[in-house]
Amino acid sequence: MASGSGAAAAAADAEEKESGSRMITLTSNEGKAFVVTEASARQSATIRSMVDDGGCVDKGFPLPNVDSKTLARVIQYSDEHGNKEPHTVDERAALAKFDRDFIAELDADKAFLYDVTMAANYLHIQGLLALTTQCVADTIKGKTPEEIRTAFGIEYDLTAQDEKEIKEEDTHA
Amino acid sequence: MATRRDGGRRREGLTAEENSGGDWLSTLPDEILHNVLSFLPAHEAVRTCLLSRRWRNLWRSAPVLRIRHRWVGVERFNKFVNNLLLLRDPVPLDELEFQTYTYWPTKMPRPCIYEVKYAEQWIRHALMCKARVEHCIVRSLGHEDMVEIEESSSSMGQLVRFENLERVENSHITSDQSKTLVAAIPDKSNSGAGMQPNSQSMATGGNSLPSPSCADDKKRRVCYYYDPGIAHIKFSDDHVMVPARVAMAHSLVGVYGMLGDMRRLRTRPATEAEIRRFHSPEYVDLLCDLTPESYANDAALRQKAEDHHGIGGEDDCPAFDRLWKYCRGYAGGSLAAARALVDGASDIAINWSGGMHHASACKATGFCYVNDIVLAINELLGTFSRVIYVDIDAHHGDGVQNAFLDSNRVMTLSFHRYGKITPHKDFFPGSGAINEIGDGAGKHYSVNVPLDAGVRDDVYHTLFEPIVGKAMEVFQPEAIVLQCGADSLSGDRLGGMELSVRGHAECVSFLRGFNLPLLLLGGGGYTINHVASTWCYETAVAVGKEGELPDDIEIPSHGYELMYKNQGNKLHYQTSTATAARKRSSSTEVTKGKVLEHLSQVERAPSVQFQERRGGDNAAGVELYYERPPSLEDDEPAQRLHRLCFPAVAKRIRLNA
Repeated sequence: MASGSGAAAAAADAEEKESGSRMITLTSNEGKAFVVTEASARQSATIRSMVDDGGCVDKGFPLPNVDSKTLARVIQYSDEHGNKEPHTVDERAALAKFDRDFIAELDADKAFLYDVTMAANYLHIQGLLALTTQCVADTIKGKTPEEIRTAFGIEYDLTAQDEKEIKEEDTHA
Repeated sequence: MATRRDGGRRREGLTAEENSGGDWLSTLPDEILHNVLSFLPAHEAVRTCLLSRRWRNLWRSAPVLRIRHRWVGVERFNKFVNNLLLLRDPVPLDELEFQTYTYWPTKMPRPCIYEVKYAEQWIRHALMCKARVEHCIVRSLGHEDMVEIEESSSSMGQLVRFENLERVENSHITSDQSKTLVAAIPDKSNSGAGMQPNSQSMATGGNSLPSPSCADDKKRRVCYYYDPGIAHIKFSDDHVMVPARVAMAHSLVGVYGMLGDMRRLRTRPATEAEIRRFHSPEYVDLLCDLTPESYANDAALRQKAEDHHGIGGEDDCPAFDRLWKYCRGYAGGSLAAARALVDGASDIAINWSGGMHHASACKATGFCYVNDIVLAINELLGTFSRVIYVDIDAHHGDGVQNAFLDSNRVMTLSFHRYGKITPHKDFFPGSGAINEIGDGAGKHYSVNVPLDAGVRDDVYHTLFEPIVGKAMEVFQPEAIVLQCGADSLSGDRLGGMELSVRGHAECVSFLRGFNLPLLLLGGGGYTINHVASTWCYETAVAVGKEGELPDDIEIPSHGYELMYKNQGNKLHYQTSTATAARKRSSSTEVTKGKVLEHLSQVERAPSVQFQERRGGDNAAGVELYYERPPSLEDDEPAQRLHRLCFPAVAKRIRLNA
């Protein structure tokens, strides 16, 4: 992963424009710049559309909704997925292992999982969003409502009326 | 950091850190939680409604449904999926996956293919919801032991896989099933236009679309009578009156997806006693007894039928098979429709098989045996003090006019062709001159608007609207009966008039705009494809959806489509141009002046003394005549589903009636 000043990135970008592997600068809400390959950045549909619109490629993309720590982690994911295209079974397995490790690490830190999920949603990185939400879904899966509430600290606030309605329509629930 | 934290999606500014022990999950925006739900099997996703209010309705709008479970018995599986699809919000469904199987104890009879009883509907529903990929595996196992899916697939499993709606692979499907499943997939070419759920139509819902005929945008509650038996009634081999036209109209109404917009009236045939309320005892006796056999074999009966009651021969009113059943059927429909209005349960009631306006108390004439209109109006008079009857058939509504000739509670208003067709022959029935204005107390309450042959929309409506408008104003009826005889359409075999579908339906639209209980009946109409097109379009006017049947709309394939070949497969067929040169007759203004003059002599809104109000006893039982209210276990859940979720889309890709 490359990181450096915006100016350097712009220079690199100019040099590599022809080769098709431009560098793109992403700036976190703390003003920290991250230089990534275009392929990596294109993992994000949000950035992809901005690049394709010919927007501020040179100036870099400010991401006011993402902090540095989260952005670094997101870039870790998109580098892995953007810069390589898995062709062989082994490569695919390696990528799957990366995803597993990646999410296992996040799962240990729920607050960070939350941040990465929000960032993935904001940046429209489908793969990453699927990964994080799958992780949440796995936690929910197979649990009773009471267990889910405990696991996520959800407060039970259904009224008697709600319960009645649910009972009426969702006899299968 | 602060910027993100203050993002509008957060609830009460909670941050994950501050809230690490708390409920961070619920603070995620809906779209992310939908993503989470998409990974859960549907039954678990639904169960999240029990978590908290935040989760109460989330599952309903999740874009993916994965139905994965082992189901004890097919019934529970069917019920679950039906409920699931019904209770879901009408949002696009990106993916629907079935990876599930059912099992049942060996002792129970094996339900064979019943497990996919609803598969077609589900898949159709999914297509309407724009499902991207469907993965459908429904397997059924005949043993109590659970068997892994892979092992069972060779025995009696079913596997259907749709990818991007382009490719269909099915294996282990009996040929019948695969046919239905494949049939459920529209052409790729259609899928683009037909399947994109138009967000606007979804938001507004078909029924509440503003209708040009209805400035107040008020939705009308419409009920509709149709008896499938009419498809098999035949007057004689070459008879111009073809009752099956009603079945054709019904099929069109179905294929354009309007059946869901109306309550279906299911009723018993009219009883003999009900028919005797208007018709003479001898005539009813005859109708009961008359069959082709008795007509052929019983000379006395034949004599009576021909000499006194107008029945016989092949051309006009033959003694055909199931005559009495046919009469009781359409009369029952009109009576039930009238009761639905009396009851207040409906604003508009439709019976396209009714409208037999020529029949008199003791005589069949003009293909009409039992005058269902008179029966229905009498029914309405039990509750409404004044009823206006408007007749847009090409022929004069003589039977109805005569029945209420001396009544000031019923105004009959007939627009019809009138005059000689040869030097010695009048256009049927020969009555309906402008000076027929009623008798006794009913003087001025019969109104006749005689027209020349070849009258087109423009001329017709320079008369129709002012005259009907004036009649409504002076008479102030409480209910309207409109006989929509479709022989006034261009190209009719008998009518000789030149109205277009739109021009004809304009009359329905105009009367609908008065916002009074409205009974729509059929009538004449002898170019049956034109008739069916018109009645279908008029049904759309009634439910306020005529905007969805534009000029260029094609007639979709629905079983009768070949019948519409002559009209270029368009609902709004081209009216003939041959008579386009006919100039507007100067007599039109004269007619209009005379009729308005008659109307001005009507005593304004005559008061009515009620001897009896008969509405009560009928109203008590009216609910019985309706189709039973739908339950979740109903036979056609997906039909209901479609109209609940995608009224507009469902219409476009409904594949068969």
